[in-house]
Amino acid sequence: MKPACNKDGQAAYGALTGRRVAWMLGLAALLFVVALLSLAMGSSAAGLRDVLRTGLDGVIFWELRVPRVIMGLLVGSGLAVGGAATQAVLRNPLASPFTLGVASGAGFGAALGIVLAGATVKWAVAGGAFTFALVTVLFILAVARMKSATPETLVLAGVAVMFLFSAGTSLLQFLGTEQQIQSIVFWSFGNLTRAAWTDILIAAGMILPALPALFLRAWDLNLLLAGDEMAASLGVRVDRLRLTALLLAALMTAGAICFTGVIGFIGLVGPHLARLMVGGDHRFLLPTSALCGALLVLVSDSLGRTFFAPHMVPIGIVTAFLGVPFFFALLLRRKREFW
Amino acid sequence: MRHGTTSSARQRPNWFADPAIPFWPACALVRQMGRFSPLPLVLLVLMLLLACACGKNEQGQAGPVVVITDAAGREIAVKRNPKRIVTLNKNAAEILRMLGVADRIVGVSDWIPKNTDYWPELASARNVGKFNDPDAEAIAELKPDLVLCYQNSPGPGFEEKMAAAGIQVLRLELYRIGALPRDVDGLGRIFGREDRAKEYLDWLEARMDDIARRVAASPERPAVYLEAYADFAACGSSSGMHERLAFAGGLNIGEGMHSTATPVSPEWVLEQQPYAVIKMCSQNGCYSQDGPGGMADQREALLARTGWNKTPAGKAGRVFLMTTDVTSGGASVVGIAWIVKWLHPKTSADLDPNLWHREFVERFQGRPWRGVYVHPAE
Repeated sequence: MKPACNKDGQAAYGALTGRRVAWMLGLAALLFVVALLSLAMGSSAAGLRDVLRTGLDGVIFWELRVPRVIMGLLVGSGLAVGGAATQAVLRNPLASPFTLGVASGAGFGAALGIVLAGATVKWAVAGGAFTFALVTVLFILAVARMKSATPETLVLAGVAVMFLFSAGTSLLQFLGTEQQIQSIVFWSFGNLTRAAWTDILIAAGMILPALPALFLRAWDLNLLLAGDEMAASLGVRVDRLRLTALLLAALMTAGAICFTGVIGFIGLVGPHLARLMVGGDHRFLLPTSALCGALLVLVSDSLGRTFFAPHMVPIGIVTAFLGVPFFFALLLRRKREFW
Repeated sequence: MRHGTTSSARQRPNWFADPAIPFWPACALVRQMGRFSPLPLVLLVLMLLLACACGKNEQGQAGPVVVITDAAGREIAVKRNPKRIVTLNKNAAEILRMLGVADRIVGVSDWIPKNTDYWPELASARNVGKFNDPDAEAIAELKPDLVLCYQNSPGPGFEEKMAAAGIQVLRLELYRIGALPRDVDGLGRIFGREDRAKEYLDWLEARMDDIARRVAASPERPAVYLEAYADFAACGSSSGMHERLAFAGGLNIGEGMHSTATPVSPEWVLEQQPYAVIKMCSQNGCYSQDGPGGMADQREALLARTGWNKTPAGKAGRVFLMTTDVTSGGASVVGIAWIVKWLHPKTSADLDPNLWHREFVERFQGRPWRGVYVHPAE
């Protein structure tokens, strides 16, 4: 066996890049197949052959399945990339946009919309969720600006805000009518059923531009992992990068969950799955996270709505049942530390 | 076994014994049994029975206790003619008002103070908090002889807490129409107002017979999608709505599910092609309403759901909203009448559910009739 140092560096790097690209292509191909399967499967008999139909099956296909699958792709990639960026700038493997209180802020906003305007007023619910998700993040960023923006401060502030909003949601549930309580609980499960074409346009408007904006900062994120001082000495404006990345991550998360309810697990585990496959280089990690997140959401949603059909197991529940064993399997197969 | 306990109710109406009506609630009762420790209650019953025997009045009308069956199917000895009542169960409050003993209610759950138009006589009763999580101290301070609550709310442990303060708890299931005869009869005996209870149960029986005749005369058994409060949450076979629909001659497309609110996929609902849709709605203060209020918007939102214009229900606009005021308690027969009217128009042209409701409110509640309880209500 040849020692590694004897190997030509460029060739080794090329092989590594090749492996990473192979992972990404493989995942993309898998995602394509899963997306087609998701379109073909459901609790009704409608399937891919209904693409050109106009009757009920056509409506089911075009107005229920297709939006669901597209929303799944958007939400999964948005949550996972947001998670990867947050983990990088906070240098914390436990972080996700939810650590910063985004999900509980969104949950509180949705509950407020349900109590004040009613669960059928979709704009009040989605708008409330989005507003409070962003308010949470802006508040935390303001705190961070007042103090020095160390990752620890941000995580602590996020956890504190998370508890505050959870308590607010519980209070609304306590005061609400039975109808409102049921709607709040159903919202908190996470569910792609609510996706309509207009929602998709808005979610896409918030998620899609943020993706390249983060991809462009991949090198800076790589440097940040080496420490704030190291990154700063190499020309990275650390505070600014941290704030930008968090804001983008929060925007993506808010865009994803304001229409679907809380799907919490993807933002944490999507990036870790990607890291186990392609390593920590953000040039590969971010796109791979997007693929992993989208794949997890699509598979979970398809299983959730077909396995016990016509019962629909909410996606927030399936992602955990499906993702955790898969994550452990990958984790145990790795010989070295991955974070 | 548990069927036997329910059949002990006096004046059992014919529709209650109809074998065509599935008696699934018995299963729920049996399961419920497992959640409470029966030992303290058995001891209590034995002690009270002993006291009763010592009073040489085992079965006599003037005996100090009345043995009735509670929501869990347990035989419970309740002190006759209690003077101070706390009711967390608003359906029970209606029955007490019907029996002419509303003035004995000293404490209520927060639903009643929110609807003072309907409950002027309880304006001075103390609000003891939520029906499922009341303020035990406030209840104890009122020193009631009896606390009336629901089958499952407040949760287990409530009896023990109240027993420590020397207060008896009676769980009633009045929200289900199948349990009305047993519970109304039991309350009538506790307060010595058996005649009034019988008058109401006779009225109820006549109306249930009327409904059964109209359903029997109609050959249709339309498929109905019953939706709980949340969007795309189907009412399964354990829900009160399922029971009402069965009485009203409809088929629940979600009967294969058990839970009262099961998430279902929108495409499944479309594929079932429901003839009608009935959605539960908990609008507050229906009695004070002059129009459909928020129910109109809710109905518009339902009709605008993706693909619903491709279902028989959506095409014909057979999408209805019902509030809990006509789906639970003494007036629940009104809710069933509405469903019959919606599903069997040919055999129910002369059926006016509002007239029945008016009878209930004026004759049995002593209130002028008003309010909007379903939408559309024509």
